[in-house]
Amino acid sequence: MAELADLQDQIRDFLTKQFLIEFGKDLTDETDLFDAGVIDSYGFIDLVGHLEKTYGVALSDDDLASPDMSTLTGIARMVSARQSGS
Amino acid sequence: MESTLRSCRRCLLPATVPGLTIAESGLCDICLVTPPEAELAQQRAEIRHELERIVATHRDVEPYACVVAFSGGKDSSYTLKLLVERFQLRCIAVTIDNGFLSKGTAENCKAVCGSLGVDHLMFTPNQQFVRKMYGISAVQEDMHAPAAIQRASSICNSCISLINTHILQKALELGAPLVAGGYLGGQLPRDAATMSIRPGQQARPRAALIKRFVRAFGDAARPYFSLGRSDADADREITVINPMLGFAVLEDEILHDIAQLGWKRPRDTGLTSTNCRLNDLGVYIHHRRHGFHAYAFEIADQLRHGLISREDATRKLNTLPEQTDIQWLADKIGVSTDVL
Repeated sequence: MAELADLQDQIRDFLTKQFLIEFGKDLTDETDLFDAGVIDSYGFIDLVGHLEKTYGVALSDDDLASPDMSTLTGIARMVSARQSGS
Repeated sequence: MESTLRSCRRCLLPATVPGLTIAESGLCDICLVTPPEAELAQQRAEIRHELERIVATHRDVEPYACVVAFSGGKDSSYTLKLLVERFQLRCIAVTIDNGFLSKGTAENCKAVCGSLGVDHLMFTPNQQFVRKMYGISAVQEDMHAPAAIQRASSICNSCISLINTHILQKALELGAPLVAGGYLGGQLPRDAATMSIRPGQQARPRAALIKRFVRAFGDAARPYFSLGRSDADADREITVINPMLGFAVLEDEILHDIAQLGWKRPRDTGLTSTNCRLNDLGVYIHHRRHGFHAYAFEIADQLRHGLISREDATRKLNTLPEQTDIQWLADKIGVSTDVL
């Protein structure tokens, strides 16, 4: 199981490549990626599929509707929590 | 080491695609991780199996089990045929008239639905709004997520958002548990072959889309992109199916099969569309702005799956719309070609 910081780095790499973005000045780990226009509904499907396949987690409807799923920090926290069974 | 090739030797994706690397072997990084054909065939078989499982639980739903996004083009016509004949679903076909449908499209819709015995609805959104949406989408570069440039042109992405929303609205209204599209590989993730959604579950990306579109197109955009008019709607489960992702069908086979239903290829829709005349303007702008064809990912996926010949793929990728057509289309949506 990856440490939270490693997990966040891995997810950052995925987001950077898959969504053609760069984290830095305009986009931070706390940026709402929906409001920023980075992730649309197809992107969300892509992201959830990647998280479930790569990290072996099952995300519930409540997880998907959670504000955590909007930011890089929140996504990593969500995956970490599901990996540890909480 | 990176190659100096201008495009992948297998799928023809050009090196101008943002984030794409072409290795010394001449293969792009997508081709390098694409499984061999036997594994792709297995993946398609799994999608078909999942489709059969989903459909089996909804076959007896009345009045309609499935609302089908039916553009009247070749892929959605073939999708409708699959859903009715192979999957035995009670379907209603819904077409959005965006004001740019080829004259032959209405006839094709009538012929295909008539042959398959399917009810058909044509929805014509406010044409002033639609033209404004297209005009702004043509010139404003940040209308969509950056990665959306891999799926379609900006004009088409706005249109697809409107169509997808309308189909979901119609499924909620009619109580249909399924919605279907005729999307192909490369147009959307393969995970999207079957997916269960609740409007409430997608509330965040939906709210962000509405906010962005209302800011760009005005308040008139809201009803075209809103879902979940009540808590009950937000909790309703709808399964989205894109059956074409489970089949490997050559374009010629598709054209042959839908010809049996009375479908005829329109002559005025360019090389990459079989229903919409505006598509060419989207292709033109996308190529100028991003340096690659708006259908490059779709064609690349077809090449990887052996569904198109290299010759046909090259011809489609290298044929751009005529300047006179671009001028005419730009005029129709109130955009000067000087700013494109």
